[in-house]
Amino acid sequence: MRKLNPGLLMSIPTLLFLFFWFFFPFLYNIYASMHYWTLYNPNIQFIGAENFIDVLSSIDFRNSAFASFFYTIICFAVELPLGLGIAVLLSREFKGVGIARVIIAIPILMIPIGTSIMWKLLTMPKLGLLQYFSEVLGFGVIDFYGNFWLASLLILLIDAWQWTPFFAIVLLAALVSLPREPYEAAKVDGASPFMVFTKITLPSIQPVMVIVSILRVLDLLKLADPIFVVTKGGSGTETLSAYIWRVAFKPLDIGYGGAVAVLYWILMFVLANILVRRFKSVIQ
Amino acid sequence: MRRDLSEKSVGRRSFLKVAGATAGGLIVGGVAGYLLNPGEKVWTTVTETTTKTVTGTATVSPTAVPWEQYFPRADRIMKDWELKWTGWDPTEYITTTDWVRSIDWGKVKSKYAGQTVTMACEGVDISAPQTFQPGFQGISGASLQLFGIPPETLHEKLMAEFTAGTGRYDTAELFGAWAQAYFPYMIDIRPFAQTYGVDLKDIHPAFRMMNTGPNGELLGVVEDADLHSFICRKNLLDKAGLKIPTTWDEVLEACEVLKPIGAKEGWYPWITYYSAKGFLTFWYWGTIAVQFRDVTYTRLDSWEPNFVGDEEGGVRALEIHKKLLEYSPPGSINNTYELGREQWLAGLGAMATSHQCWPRQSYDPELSKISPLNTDNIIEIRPYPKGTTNHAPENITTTYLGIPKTSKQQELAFLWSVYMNSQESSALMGCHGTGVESGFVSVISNPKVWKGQPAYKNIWETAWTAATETFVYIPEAYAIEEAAGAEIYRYLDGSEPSAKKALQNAEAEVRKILDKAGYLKTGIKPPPWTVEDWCKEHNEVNPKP
Repeated sequence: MRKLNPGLLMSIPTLLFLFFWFFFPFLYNIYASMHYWTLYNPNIQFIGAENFIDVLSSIDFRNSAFASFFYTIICFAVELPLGLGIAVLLSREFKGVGIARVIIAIPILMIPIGTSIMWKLLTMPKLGLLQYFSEVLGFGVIDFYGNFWLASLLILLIDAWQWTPFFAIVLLAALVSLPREPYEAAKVDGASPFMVFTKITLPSIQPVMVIVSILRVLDLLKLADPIFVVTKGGSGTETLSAYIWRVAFKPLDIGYGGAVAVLYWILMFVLANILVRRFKSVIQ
Repeated sequence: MRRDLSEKSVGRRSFLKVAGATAGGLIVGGVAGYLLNPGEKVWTTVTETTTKTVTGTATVSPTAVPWEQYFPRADRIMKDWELKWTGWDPTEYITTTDWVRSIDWGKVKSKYAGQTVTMACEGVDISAPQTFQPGFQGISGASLQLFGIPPETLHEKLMAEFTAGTGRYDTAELFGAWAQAYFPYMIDIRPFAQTYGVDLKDIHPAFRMMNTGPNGELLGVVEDADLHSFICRKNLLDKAGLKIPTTWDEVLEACEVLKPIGAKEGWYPWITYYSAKGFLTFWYWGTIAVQFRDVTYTRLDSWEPNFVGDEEGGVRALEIHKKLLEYSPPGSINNTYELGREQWLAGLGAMATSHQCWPRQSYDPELSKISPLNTDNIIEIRPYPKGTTNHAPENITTTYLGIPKTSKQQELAFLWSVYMNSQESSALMGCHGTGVESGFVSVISNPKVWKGQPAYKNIWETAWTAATETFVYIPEAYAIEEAAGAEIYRYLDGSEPSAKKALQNAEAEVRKILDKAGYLKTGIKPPPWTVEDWCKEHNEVNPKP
């Protein structure tokens, strides 16, 4: 009797899980995207690529794709250097460093929608604390919700407040695990702190930095919570995730919503592949 | 010094003795306390800010039945300041008829005691069912479980449950505007109403027409009956030498005068009720647009949307909508109901249009910074501003309590629906400031009730001219509102400079949805749009003041 490969045997539960929770819904979604299909209407019609054509010709889809990339870029550009700076600071020994490391992790533990509501309360015209200071300092009431740039600034603030610590903590772990010898050698050779940082520290933590960056970029492309709270998708701030929610779940149009999701997946897949290929050598 | 616990060890027997005596004492004390004062803790007044227990012993009992103590009545629901403010005799009923008082609850209790019924409702309004929960549990002997769901996700949550046939909720609060989407999953409540002698025709047609099916089937008891009114802080208008506006032109003129005064004093001329991208934009524009057009508003006699209007009344309405945003606090373009309400109650505005809730809540000293009860503010409630025509605004946000076909407790769910939404219950909910408003003719026309909910006078006087949203009769209503609202929004945020073009784009979007769903091909006649026409078609009297 032929023996079953134990490796394969032990993988079956995982494969089944993957099939039912990932591959099947994924294929089902592609099937849905090619139909006129609303949950309250029992008549499902095959319409081929019509949903995809509608999505691609939709201004909202293009705007939301732009918003997704825009927020990904600005949030990443702020959070990575800030997180790295905090990590470097916290990697040093000083009084209270333990408490500081704990405090910095608090925002990550908060529910994203709760964080957004907190910031919204701070920025409510005439009622929020930040608006109060703005008026006291003579800047007047700031339109954080209706103006695209100021709403974007608020969204950036919310995301950076919550997720910069993610960079900080992961990079801190990388920093404290670095061997001391290269630093001692550099000190003997008389290297400046800047040179030590750019020539030793950064290259040493580069693999971790790349991985954490890829994770964060893919996560940022899914940004939705602050959008719902701050603008409800208005003022040009609607991201792809928020757009999918609006067109799929509210009208229960799983055909159209499915088509947006498929295009979104393609976008994410291509981007993830580019990033992984580009930084493959660093990761390995 | 560290204490050696082993020195004074507790034996199993002695522990059981002490624990048993304590538990026994508590039980005996509890039972004695309950027997000595059985009327207490039946009614629990729940509001957004307070929770307190009110003694429910009746001193006046119009119907001498043992379950009278569970009937909704002012002294069991209202806060002290509310009773003082209204000047009611707290132990008298404020409505002349109440179907709760005519049901034989003795029979109900013998049938349903010990059983459970579940309800899904808007989380923001959960204080309304919570207020009546203890009374219903007492009168029926059944247990009621409430599930509060955020309003912005209630529709899809319910639809997911209904389409999956989970039977999770025995009754659910449904949005009138998207009624048709729920229809296939709901039962017709008329047979139950007949069994229990519940007169559903006391509900004003303005609020009943949205949950009535094409063959007269009634898909729920109206829970929250909403129509817009105009509200203002008269003291601010007086100070500026302005009279209360009655038309949209006068509103805009008043805003212009009030703007510099408000800038100095820290308030704005206008508060936008809601305007956020999508169906809220559509609703806010729609309520204004109705005032500028005749009954061809959506022109669905041939399933042909006409948002621009024959005389471009829709365009005028959209221009007003945008202008109002300029007079509102910054960011109001993305206002939701909750944010608008906070701004109004915080005293950030001089004028607004809103449902009945804002005017009533303005009086509440615990909720409002502009309460006339402890400030110099004068709150005035008037009919919705006129345009070129004179319609009450569209009735779009009424909710009703439906019973899903999958419910295993349909009759009990019905009884809860009518208990919570009886004449007296709904009058008290409105007068208690819960935000859940009565739709009964016998309530909104009752001057005694106006003392507790001043907005009802205006609603009574205008409801007969109301219109409903035409799309409510097709399941695609939500998709249409969302798509049209997104297009209209483009004019508000400036990405589409022409109001007319934005409305034409909205028409095109709606046409696309109607075409996909097959309406353009079927030639089905759309149902009546105004209360007046609806009453004619259903051979009913349109109640007029």
